[in-house]
Amino acid sequence: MSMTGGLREILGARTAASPPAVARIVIGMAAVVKALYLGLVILPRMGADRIRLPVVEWLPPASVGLTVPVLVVWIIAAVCFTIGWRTRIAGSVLVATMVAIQLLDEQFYSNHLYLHSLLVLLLTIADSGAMLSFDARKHGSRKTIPAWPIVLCCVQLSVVYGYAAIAKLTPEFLSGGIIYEAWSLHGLLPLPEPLRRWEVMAPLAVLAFLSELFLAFAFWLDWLRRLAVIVGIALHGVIILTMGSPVELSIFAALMFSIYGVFGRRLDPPSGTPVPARSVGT
Amino acid sequence: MRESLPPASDPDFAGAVRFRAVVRGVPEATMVVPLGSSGATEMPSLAAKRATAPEVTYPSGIGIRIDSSPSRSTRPQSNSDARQPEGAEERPSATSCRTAAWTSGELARALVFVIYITLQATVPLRAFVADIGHDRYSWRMYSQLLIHPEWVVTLRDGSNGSIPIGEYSIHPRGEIDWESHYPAHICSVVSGAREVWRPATQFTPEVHFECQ
Repeated sequence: MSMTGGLREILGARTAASPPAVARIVIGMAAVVKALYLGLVILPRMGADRIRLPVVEWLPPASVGLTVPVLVVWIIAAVCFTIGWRTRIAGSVLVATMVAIQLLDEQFYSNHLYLHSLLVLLLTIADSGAMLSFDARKHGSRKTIPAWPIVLCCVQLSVVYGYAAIAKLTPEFLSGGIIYEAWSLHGLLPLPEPLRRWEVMAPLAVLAFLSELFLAFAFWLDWLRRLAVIVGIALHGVIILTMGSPVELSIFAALMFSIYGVFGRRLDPPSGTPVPARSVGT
Repeated sequence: MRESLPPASDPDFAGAVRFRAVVRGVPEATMVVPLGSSGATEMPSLAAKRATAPEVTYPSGIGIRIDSSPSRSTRPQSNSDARQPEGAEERPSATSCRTAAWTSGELARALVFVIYITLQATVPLRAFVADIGHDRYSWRMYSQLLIHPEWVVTLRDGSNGSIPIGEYSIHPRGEIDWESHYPAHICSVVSGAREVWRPATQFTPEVHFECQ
């Protein structure tokens, strides 16, 4: 099969609607929590004496008066996206508010928010409201949806884990220094005294690197997928407990877990594609 | 007389049902009824079984495969792999049935698909090529130490005061070029500031900024 033929088959294929619908619900709820978190953490720091760094020069500087309405629209859109009410409109508005927040000020950017907006965008394109939604109750649910945005979600997961692993191939990370600093200064769990040694921290750092590298590839292989889920849950659990910012890291974990469920689903050709027939008795 | 048939091991017949019958004058005859060719030839029990068949995942390989029929998993993946009986015309597959020109919708989807993957694969490379410690859109979470040395402001009366990065910032992200923005901002918010500077560290250069 040629490359364009393969691409065409993926673009025309359909996949089960229920895993992306579950992902939509998880990611939508995470968006509500994220907006509330931003409101509670960022807004009190937006005094007039704080520096403003708009990403686009012609945008007005971020202010409480400008940020609050954007966050309110964000929350409304996230709730609608979660329950699947006018899902595509809600998803589009949610992506727009997430992008707006990131454009308002360089200080609002985070890898997690960037990932969040990408996944909402892909699930909006994928028509993830086809099941488990108010839209489905009103117009009837569909068992399949276009597969290519879901394939992109899977690619996105591999890109995130893969580049996060490659970026850790530095002496300062592999020495365990970064894990030590983050855990000792910000960890939810206190760093036990016996572990405050490089002989422990360095292997932990290598394990973190190997885990992320493994997760970048393992979900694509049926025989490794279950192990990948276990490794992923363990990795994110340790990250939440040791690296600080537990709310943000829990949201990040929820985003990644929601994508775990869409891997390994069958891709069917579009309806109406003729099935090969063989004459009787040939 | 036996009909000419492909061998029983032919994988292309995995989705077919073989019937054997004894016909007068013919010791043994075999008829092959392909499943899925039409509703009339399909056995009701099998049709019901197919309709209620649970969704399956592929047993091996990289999770993305196109399935064109329930028996596809046991078939060769391309027509060229399938053995055809001599003289038989090559049958169109689900793929070759769709060899028409690309529609504008397909082209648009293809463009989005390819651009998305290209951007996601290449943009993070920028940080590696340019050796940027913290970079947006590069997925470099917790891979670098985030060090914000304190800034020092010298007032017109000659006194000094230290200012941490969090004092006048909303969120001191590592991707931001603080050397270019923060000193000027300190000058604007600290009354009587004459100079803002930051001593060199192992990771950051020394910075001096004269307030206007």
